[in-house]
Amino acid sequence: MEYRVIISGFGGQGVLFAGKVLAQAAVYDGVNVSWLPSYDPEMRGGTCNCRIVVSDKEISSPAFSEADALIAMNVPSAERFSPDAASLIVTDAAGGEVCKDGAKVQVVDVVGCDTALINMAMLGAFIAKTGIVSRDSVHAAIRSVAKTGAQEDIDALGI
Amino acid sequence: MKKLMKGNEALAAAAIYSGVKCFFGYPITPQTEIAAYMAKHLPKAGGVFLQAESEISAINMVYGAAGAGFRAMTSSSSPGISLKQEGISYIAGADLPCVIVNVMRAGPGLGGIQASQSDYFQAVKGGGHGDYRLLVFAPASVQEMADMTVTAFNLSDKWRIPAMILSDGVTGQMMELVDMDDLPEICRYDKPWAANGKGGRKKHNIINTLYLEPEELEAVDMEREKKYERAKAELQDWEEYMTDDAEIIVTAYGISARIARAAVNAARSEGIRAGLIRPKMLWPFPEDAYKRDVKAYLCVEMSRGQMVEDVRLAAGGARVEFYGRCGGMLVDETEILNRIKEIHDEGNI
Repeated sequence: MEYRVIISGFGGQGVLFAGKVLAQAAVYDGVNVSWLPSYDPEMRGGTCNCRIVVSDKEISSPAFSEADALIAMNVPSAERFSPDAASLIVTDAAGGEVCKDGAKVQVVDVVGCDTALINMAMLGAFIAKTGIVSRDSVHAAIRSVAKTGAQEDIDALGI
Repeated sequence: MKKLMKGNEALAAAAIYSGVKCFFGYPITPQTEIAAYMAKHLPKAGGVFLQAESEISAINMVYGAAGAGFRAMTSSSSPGISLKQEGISYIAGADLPCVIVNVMRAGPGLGGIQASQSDYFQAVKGGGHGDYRLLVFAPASVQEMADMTVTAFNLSDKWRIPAMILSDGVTGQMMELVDMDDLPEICRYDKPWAANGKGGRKKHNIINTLYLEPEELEAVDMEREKKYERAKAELQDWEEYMTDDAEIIVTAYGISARIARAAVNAARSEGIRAGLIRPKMLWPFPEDAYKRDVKAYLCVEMSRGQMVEDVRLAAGGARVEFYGRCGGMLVDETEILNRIKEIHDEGNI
């Protein structure tokens, strides 16, 4: 089975980091994975996204347009990518309001959450909902990918 | 052990494994990770990393290092590769081996920084002046970015033809699992032609591309042409997917082939007998792959149609359709599937 995820938000929110954690966790689970970043001119404050494919078979296309799931860390991301997400949209309350199909939306309460950890809160909610990677693997992946503050990231996952 | 790596980094690591001794580069998106990796790791491996003052300078440094018999390399992206063309022509004219990497972005001009495949003509038809060819490799995964780099160094040394890795922004930027412990073997060849001092010889070697006597230059060109003919017979390389019973064959290289493969799977699940031919080398072009009985080919490229011309030449009158995106837009899986369906329905296949 091939599972396709788009993670999107502002540059600086840890969009690519969250994607790398998910990809590395899939590696620890022993399945195939691809991670494709956007590399637009903007960085901090601009839009940013990455696409991850997790599969038990050889991955056909890392550059897909239609996804199974979307993690949208801001409103522009929810607006842009929610039509491409077939079954699940993980976002905050404001992002949820702009998604046309409310049945797919899983709202993560980020009120009071450290803005640097919203990426982990949303990734944790996504993994709790889908079980696409194991809890142990995602913890190990954070320890592998994070340069500093791995424990804070793990705590913010909530799983 | 397999690990996650970016395409650009896997390519650079494979070059160091291959024994590259000289890397000359200049930054440009989306290939800069190659130079960055080389800056960090090549000196530790006993090689020279040098950021030149321009792309033109970098390719001429490759000319010098290759002429001295070292495994030498440069990398850039489309506008930078255009700047290198004069040097590439000289290197080809001097029959020197080297590896040139083009992580393609959209053109013409400065174009954009997103992935593209619009430098096919430049790579396979000779972007510089004169009758010459490059060995052109088309990686479609991070593993192939690594594997083909090793093969490019091997074949370039063996044939004394400069090699080009024709990659793109997506394949360079993406991470996938790659097994760096299972790369192709390194093949070493003597280089008695190298301009590296007399070394016990009576006369020193000279690297030259200037022949003022037309008879002499024609003879040199004709000799090189024989080598190209042998390469065409021996080096064609492609991959087939579900072609055995296929009536519509999609053909694409690099990242487009990955996306096309997903579309072929979707077409199969709808009962359409689709398949895929993926050239792994673009020069020599795998003409032999297209000598078959098929209702139609659909050539998919991130350009306005470049490889499709070679497909038409190879397909010998068979129906060849084209679908492409440009400007840095990726080809779309659903759009490819729709084109397959259209062709299928028109032909009552």
